[in-house]
Amino acid sequence: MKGIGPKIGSPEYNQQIDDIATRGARAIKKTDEAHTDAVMDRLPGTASEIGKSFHNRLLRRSPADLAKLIGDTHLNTTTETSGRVSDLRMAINDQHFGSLKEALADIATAAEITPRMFEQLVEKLELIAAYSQAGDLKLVPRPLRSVIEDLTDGDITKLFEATAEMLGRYAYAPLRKAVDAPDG
Amino acid sequence: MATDPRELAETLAAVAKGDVPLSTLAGLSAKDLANILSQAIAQMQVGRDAKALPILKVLIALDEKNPIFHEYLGLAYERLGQHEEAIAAYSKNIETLGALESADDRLCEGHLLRARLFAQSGAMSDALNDVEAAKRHHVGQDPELAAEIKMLEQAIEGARP
Repeated sequence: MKGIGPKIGSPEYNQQIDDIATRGARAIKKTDEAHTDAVMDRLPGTASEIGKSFHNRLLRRSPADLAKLIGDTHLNTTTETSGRVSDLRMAINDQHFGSLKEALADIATAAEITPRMFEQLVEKLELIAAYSQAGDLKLVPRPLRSVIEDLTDGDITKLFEATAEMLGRYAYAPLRKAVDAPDG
Repeated sequence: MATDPRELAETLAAVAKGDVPLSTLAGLSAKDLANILSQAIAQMQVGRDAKALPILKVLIALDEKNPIFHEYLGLAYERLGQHEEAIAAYSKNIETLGALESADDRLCEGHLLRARLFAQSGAMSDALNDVEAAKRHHVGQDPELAAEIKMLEQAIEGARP
């Protein structure tokens, strides 16, 4: 029968199989590139629909939904730790650094806390300060960079002390105020 | 102070190490964080995705182990056309969700978000892997997610040469 192709098992047939295998292997090697071209031709419309649906799904979450989702992982600390955090916050707000200072110096050694760890903490505070200064929350903390530069003399006690101070002065109080009375 | 200064110092050290989120020390509840996140979403709803970025980065600074902030950061980057950053944020979302119990539908959603970006970037094997992962995690009855899986799977399969 014409048009069907070579007889199964014939040399022509085997050659055709080899050719297909070769092309297949080449195609597999180029899968990503080939798919990219094909996807760009065919996927965008569909992807657009998927994206629209997904984006809307995320953007229509209510504050209550968000609070629940955040709460699934937030405050994932023990009661004991939460109590300590509460006490620490109180100490920071009351600016009671005297007794804390000596303990911090000991702990820094025992817990292998490095100045870098606290610098990272300060970097986070800086980010919060930068966000505040962008005006969205109408907060104007004093620039933190100069404070940090004053503290990079290798004295970890000072770094701890300043970090605690900044936590209270630049993170807790402004954020608390912003959350209680958001602007805009 | 009611507590030993040494214990307080240990707590501060835990914050520095990331074992206790900064948000906890700042006295922010989940509801407080949701209010801040709502501000970012409000910006995104009116197309100001770039303005949402700093808010989302602050939320991550406050609680970097919370997957939802990475999810929205990925979304903002995606809408801004910054796909590489979006994939990194979506990956962080999946990674942090993996540490949770009962996060299946959220993991499903996270994998689908990343799968579509992989597909658009031409990383088809990664996209298919994510679709498969999404299917494994789709244990709930959410018809919307089921439809998304089917649609994305068909789109990728249909795009095969």
